[in-house]
Amino acid sequence: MNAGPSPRLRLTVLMVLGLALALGSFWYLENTRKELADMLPKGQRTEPDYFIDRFQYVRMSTTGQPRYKVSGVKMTHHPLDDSFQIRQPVVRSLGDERPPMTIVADRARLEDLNSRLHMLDHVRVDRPATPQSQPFRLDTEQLLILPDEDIMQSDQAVEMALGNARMSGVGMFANNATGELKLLSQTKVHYPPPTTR
Amino acid sequence: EKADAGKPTNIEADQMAYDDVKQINTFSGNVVLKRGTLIMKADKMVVTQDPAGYQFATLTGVSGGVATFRQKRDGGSDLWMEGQGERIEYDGKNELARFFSKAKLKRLEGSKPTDEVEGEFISYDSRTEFFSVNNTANGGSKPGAGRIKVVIQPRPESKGSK
Repeated sequence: MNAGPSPRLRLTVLMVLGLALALGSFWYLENTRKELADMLPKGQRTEPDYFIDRFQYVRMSTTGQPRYKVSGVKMTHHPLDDSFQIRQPVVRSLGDERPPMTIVADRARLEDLNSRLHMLDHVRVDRPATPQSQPFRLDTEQLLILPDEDIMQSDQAVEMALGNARMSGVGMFANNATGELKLLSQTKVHYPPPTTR
Repeated sequence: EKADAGKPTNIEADQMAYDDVKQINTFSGNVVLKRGTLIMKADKMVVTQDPAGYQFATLTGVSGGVATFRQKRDGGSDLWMEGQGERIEYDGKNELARFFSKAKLKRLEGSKPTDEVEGEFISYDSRTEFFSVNNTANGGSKPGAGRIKVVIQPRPESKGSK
């Protein structure tokens, strides 16, 4: 008279069920934790990851000609946005088709795969006179250089000297390739009295 | 007045665009040029400079506006010359102002005009204070081209003759 499954069988089934449940939940837990780990950035570095002391590099034009030489006291790489902070940057334009120009500042930020160079604090641009063009000097607190397009622009106050004229304004744009120089607002120009009478 | 010749030239405007290749400077928006007592205003002004440092400026009004000119005259404390035209060409070396199309020139004592002249072209030499008027905008004279109007105010009795 064995009416239902034997107690031994029932016990075994119960144990198997329990084991499956335990293993299942363990497998489920493992999976969720792994997914979570993938989603999380791999220990994103916010601090600089390397720097270069007393550096100098040459930026080529899109056609491979040396276009700008950039040097400085220290260049620190920031992985978060792949940008560089530069101390005491010096930028010299290269190439013999245009007069050499030197740009210095207290600091600079290089970003967008080194295609945008923000010169910051006590920015000074100097271009000596040549037979074709007058001497040029510019002072501002912020200047963006786009080496590939040979463009310099600022949205702050600028003071300029061009030949014997003194100029000032707010907002400036210069295309060194075409020789175009613009002041965007509050323009003031002073020409000294002529030399001979 | 003659003393203006040795004075610096100051320009104010909204914007400036300089062409380094052609060495031409273009000013636009509320343009004001000052040189001693000389004041010229326009919407747009193109300036070139000769090696000696003299400026040559062409001032134009925009959409029917005019360029204006005002300068003190020698020989009195409050004598002025005022002019306007759709275009003014100013030669900073010879101090010659040439007014083109709808040109007007007025001599003033204080704010009272003493003589007035209108025509298509007026040339004013501010050194000799001599001006000439022609009836075509390019400075020549052609019969039937346009009328010249001159208003000469009567001079007050000179004090001595009373």
